[in-house]
Amino acid sequence: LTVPGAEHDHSFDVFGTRVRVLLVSGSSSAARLDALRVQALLQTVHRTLTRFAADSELSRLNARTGEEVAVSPMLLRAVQAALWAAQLSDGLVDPTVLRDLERAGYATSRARRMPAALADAIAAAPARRPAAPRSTQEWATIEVDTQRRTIRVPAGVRLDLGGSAKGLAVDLAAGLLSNNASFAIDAGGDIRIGAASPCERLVHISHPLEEEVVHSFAVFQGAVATSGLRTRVWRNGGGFAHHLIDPARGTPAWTGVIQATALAPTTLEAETLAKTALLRGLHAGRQVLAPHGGALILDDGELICVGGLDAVRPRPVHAG
Amino acid sequence: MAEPTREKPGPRTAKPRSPLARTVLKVTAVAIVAVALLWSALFVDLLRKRSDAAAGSPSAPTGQVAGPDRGQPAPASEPLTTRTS
Repeated sequence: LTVPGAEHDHSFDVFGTRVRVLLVSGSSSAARLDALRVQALLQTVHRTLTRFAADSELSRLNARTGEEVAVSPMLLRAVQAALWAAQLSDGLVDPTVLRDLERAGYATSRARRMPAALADAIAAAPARRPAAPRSTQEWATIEVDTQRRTIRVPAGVRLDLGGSAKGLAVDLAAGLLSNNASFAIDAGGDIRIGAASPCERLVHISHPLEEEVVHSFAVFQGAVATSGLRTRVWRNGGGFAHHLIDPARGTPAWTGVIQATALAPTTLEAETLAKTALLRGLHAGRQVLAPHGGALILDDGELICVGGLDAVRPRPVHAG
Repeated sequence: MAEPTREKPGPRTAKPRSPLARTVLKVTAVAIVAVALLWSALFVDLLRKRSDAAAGSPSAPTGQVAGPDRGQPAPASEPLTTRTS
């Protein structure tokens, strides 16, 4: 597992997490410039799409529900990505659950807040059951007009673009790096790997309870994303809550899966598959991960690899 | 006949410069500093380009080039860890 050349290593904070850009380029100046372009892009995406800033474009859209609103190309693309994720997951990865998230206690950023102990949350969790989509499917009634670049969100509905926005951002950033000899972007565990001349890279899965590497595999090109409860779990009243909402019930989902890792050609797809697998629970979750490969970690700590994870090579795709 | 008295030379005082002269002096000083900075920047850039050319050459040793952001060498193909974020 070697890359022919030294890697430029650039890190910064955005999306409430640490982002790392590794790349091999013809010159260190060019590598540094590309890494800074990635940083600028991700910071722009974050400023546009965060729900935690009242002046972000997403917050302004959320303040005008029921109206047709002219939006920037970035917000248009992000909403399209969120709707694509909702469609891929049959409505489980639902961008319209913001009201439920806030009710569960996630109204402000938890980026620098200590999470509750996951083991305590698991011990106190209600009976496990798979999540289900909302029967109303409000996400499907969001109107996106790409010609006029407008969006109309149904009255009373507000959007949280969360993981799909981060996945999209990493894919857009990969588009900036596609001419480099090799690159990897790691946005808090959502990873995109690519290259002009592909080579393998080792990826570790961190266990959410033991916080140590529980499995490793090689990726040639594509994306890996992990969704789970470890960092965004908190005490809520007498019990615990987390950020992965069961759309049908409007409450945090306790499915028996506490972390799902998915491989896919793009980070947006990997992020969507990981979240879908976790929400579906063990049995249906395995089927979700099977086409590209992945892994589930159950609330008793057991690791289940799916789709021959050791040998998986996500099919190459053109970035962007 | 009384000898004419010689005037004793008084202490020499600098003639006050005109506003125009002061401005010319200031502009000259600023120009000298700017040229010095420009030459320094060009020199550093030249050194960096030579360094880059050496690093980009096919014979550059793998994993030995410093990562500019950390000032430390970054090993080639560093493993990554996926986790809940």
